[in-house]
Amino acid sequence: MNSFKTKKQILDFITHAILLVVAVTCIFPVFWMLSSSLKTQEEIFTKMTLLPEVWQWSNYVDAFIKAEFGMYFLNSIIYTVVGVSAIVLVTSMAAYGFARLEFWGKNFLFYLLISTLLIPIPGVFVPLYLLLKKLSLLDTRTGLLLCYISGALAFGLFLLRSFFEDLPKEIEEAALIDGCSRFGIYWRIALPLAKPAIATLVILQCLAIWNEFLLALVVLQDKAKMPIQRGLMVFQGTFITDYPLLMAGLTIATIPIVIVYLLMQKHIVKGIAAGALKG
Amino acid sequence: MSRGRFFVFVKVFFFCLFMVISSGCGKKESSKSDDSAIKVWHWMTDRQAAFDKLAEQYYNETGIKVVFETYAPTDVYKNKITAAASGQLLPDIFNPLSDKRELASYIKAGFIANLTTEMNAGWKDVFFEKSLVQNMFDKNNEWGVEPGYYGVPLDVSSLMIYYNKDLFAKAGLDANNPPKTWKEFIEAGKKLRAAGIQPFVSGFGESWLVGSFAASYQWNLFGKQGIIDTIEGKISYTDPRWVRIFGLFNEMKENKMFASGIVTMINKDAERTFATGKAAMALNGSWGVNVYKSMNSSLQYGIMYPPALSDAKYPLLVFGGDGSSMFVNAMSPKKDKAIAFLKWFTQRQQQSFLAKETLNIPSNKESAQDLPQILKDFSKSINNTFENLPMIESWQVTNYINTNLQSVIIGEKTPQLAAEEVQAEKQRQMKVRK
Repeated sequence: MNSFKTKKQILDFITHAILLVVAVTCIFPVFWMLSSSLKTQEEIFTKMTLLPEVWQWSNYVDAFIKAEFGMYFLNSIIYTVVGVSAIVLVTSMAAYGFARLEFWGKNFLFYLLISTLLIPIPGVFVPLYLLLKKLSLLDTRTGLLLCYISGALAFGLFLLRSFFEDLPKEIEEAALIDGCSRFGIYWRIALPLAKPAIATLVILQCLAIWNEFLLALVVLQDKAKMPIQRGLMVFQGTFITDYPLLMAGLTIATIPIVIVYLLMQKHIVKGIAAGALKG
Repeated sequence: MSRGRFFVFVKVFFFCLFMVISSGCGKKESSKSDDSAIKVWHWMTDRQAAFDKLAEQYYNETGIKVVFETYAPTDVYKNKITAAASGQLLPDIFNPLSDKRELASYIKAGFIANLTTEMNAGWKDVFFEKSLVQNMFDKNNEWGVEPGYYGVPLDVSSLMIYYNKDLFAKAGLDANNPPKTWKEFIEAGKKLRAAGIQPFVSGFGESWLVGSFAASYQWNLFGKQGIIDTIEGKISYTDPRWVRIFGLFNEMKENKMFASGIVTMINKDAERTFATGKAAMALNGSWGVNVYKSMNSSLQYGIMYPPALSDAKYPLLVFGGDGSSMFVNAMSPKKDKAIAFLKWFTQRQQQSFLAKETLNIPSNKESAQDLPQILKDFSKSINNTFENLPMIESWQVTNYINTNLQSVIIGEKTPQLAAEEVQAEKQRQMKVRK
C-alpha cells in the first residue's frame, strides 16, 4: 500500500512538474507582453528585468491615440460579429444539407469545398482582388466580409457535417411526423444540439477574423475601414519596431478575444473533443 | 432553440449588417476617396508622420493633395502591389519592391513611367549618382527595357561595419583607428575574442546579408568585368579567387570571429546583439543608426569599410545605393502631377526634413551636408557602392552562393567544395538557359 502511495505521489509530482513547465511556457509570452507594454524602448533592450523600473502607463494612452484604435476597434467588432454570424448561419445550413439531404454529386461537392482548405491565403490574393474589382466590391466592407465568409466555409462544413451526421435520426423523424418542416428541424432540433461544435466554430472564427489583416490590407485601401490589426502595424516599422507601444496595443487588442473565449470556454473543450472523435 | 432566441439572433445579425451597409458599401464607399489627390503607396509605416507633414506642406504650397498610404510588412505591401497591378489599380506613385528582372517586367507591362526626359532636364543632378543607377537601364540590358531612368530615389543606404568603441578599447584596440586591411581585421578579431568579446555579428540568417558581404570581395578581386564574365560563365566559380572568397569566411570561422548562432540569426537579432554590447562589430546598413539609437542611445560606435584585401587588384565596393525609390504609374491620369510632386519632394529642404525625422541618408546630395556626423560618414560611402550591371546572376546560383557561404561558416563545407557546388549549379542553370 505504501509503495503504491509513493508511486502515485512520484507520478503526481512528475505530472505536475510537466504541467507547470507547460503552463509557464504558455503564460510567459503573455507576461512578457504585459511587462514590455509598461517599459521604455531602451529598457526592453538594455535591461533584462521581468518588471519595469518605472511603470509607463502612458504607453496605453499613446498606443490608443497613435494607432487610432477607436476607429479600428469598431471596424473589427463589426467584421467579427457580422462575419461570424454569417459563417455560422451559412455553414450550419450547408453542413446540415450535406449531412441529411440526398442530391447528385453531394460527396464530390463536399470534398471540392473541403479541398479549398489547402489553398493558402496569399495564393488567392490576385484572383480575389480581380473578382472584387469586377463586382465593384474592392475597398468595401462588404467585399472583405464576403472574403472572410467564403474563406471559413470549408472549415465550418468540415466541423459541422460530421456533427449533424451523428445526431440520432429518430428525433428528426419524430419531428417530421409531428409536422415540422425541414428548416424547422434544422433550426429547432439540429442547431441546438450542435451547440458545442458551433461554439468551437464561433471562437475559432472570432480569433481568425479578429487577428486577420493580410486580406484586409490587400482588399481595403481606405484607412477608415481597416481592422484593429492595421493599428498595430503603425508600431512595426521596416527597421524599427516600437515594442512598448506595440505590446500595449497588443494587450488592448487581445482583451475582447479573451472575453469571448471566457464566455464560451465550457463549450469549446466539448466541441473540440467531439469534433476530434467524430470528424 | 426557442422562437424568442431566434428573433434575438436575427435582430443582432441584421443590426450589424445594417451597420456595415450604413457605413458605406460598394460603389458608394469607393466614391468617398478623393480622386483628385495623388496617391502614394509606401511600405515604411514608421515614416507615415513625416510623409504626412510633407504632404500637408505641399498642399499648402500648391493646393494639390497628396495621400500617403503605408502598408507593412513588406511582403504584404508587395502582395498588394501585385494584386493592384493585375487589376490595373496601381496608385500614382509606388514601388514594386522587386529585383531588376521583375522591375523590367513592370516597365514592359506599361506600369512604370520612363523619367529620362525629366531627369536629363537637370533633375538627376540633385541626386547621388549611385542612387539612380539601380533603377536605370543601360542600352544593352538583358531584359530589353528601353534605356533610361525609371526610379526616383527618396533616400540612399550602404552596408558598412559598425564597431563598438568601448569594446574595442576594452580589448586593447585603438577605437579611433579601426582595421583597414583583412589582416588587421583578423588580428582585431583575435584580440576581441581573447578579451571574451564576440568579435563580429550580422544577420547572416538572411542570405542577402551574407551574400552582400561576399560580393564586396567579389568586386575587390574581380572588378566589374570579372563579375560580368562570371555571370556569363566565362569565369568559373572554382576560380582560385572565388575559392578565396569562401576561404575568407572560413578564416573568420577558424579565428572564432563569428557571434554564436550567426548563420540562423535574423538582422533584428543581430542589431540587438550589437546594440546591447554583446558583439564588437556588426555588418549592417545605414538604417542601423536609427535602430541603434532607439535600442541604446548611449552606444558609442563608429563605422568602417569591410577591410580590403591588400593584394586585390580592384577597389572594394559595398552593397548600397538607393534606399527606397519611388516609381510613377505610367497609366495614371495624374502622371505629370505625380512627377511634379516627386521633384518637389526630392529638393534639399524636404529631403533634409525627411532625413532629420527618419535618420536616413537623403538621396539629395546637398541635403547630406545637413546630416549628423555618423550619417555624413555613411553618405561618403555611397559613391563606393556596387556599380550597375547590365545583367544579374540567376537567383538559383545566388542562392547556392549564399547557402554555401553559410555552410562554410558552420564548417559543413570546405571553401573548395563550396566553390565546386556553386559551379555545378551554375552549369545546370546555363544548360537550362540554353
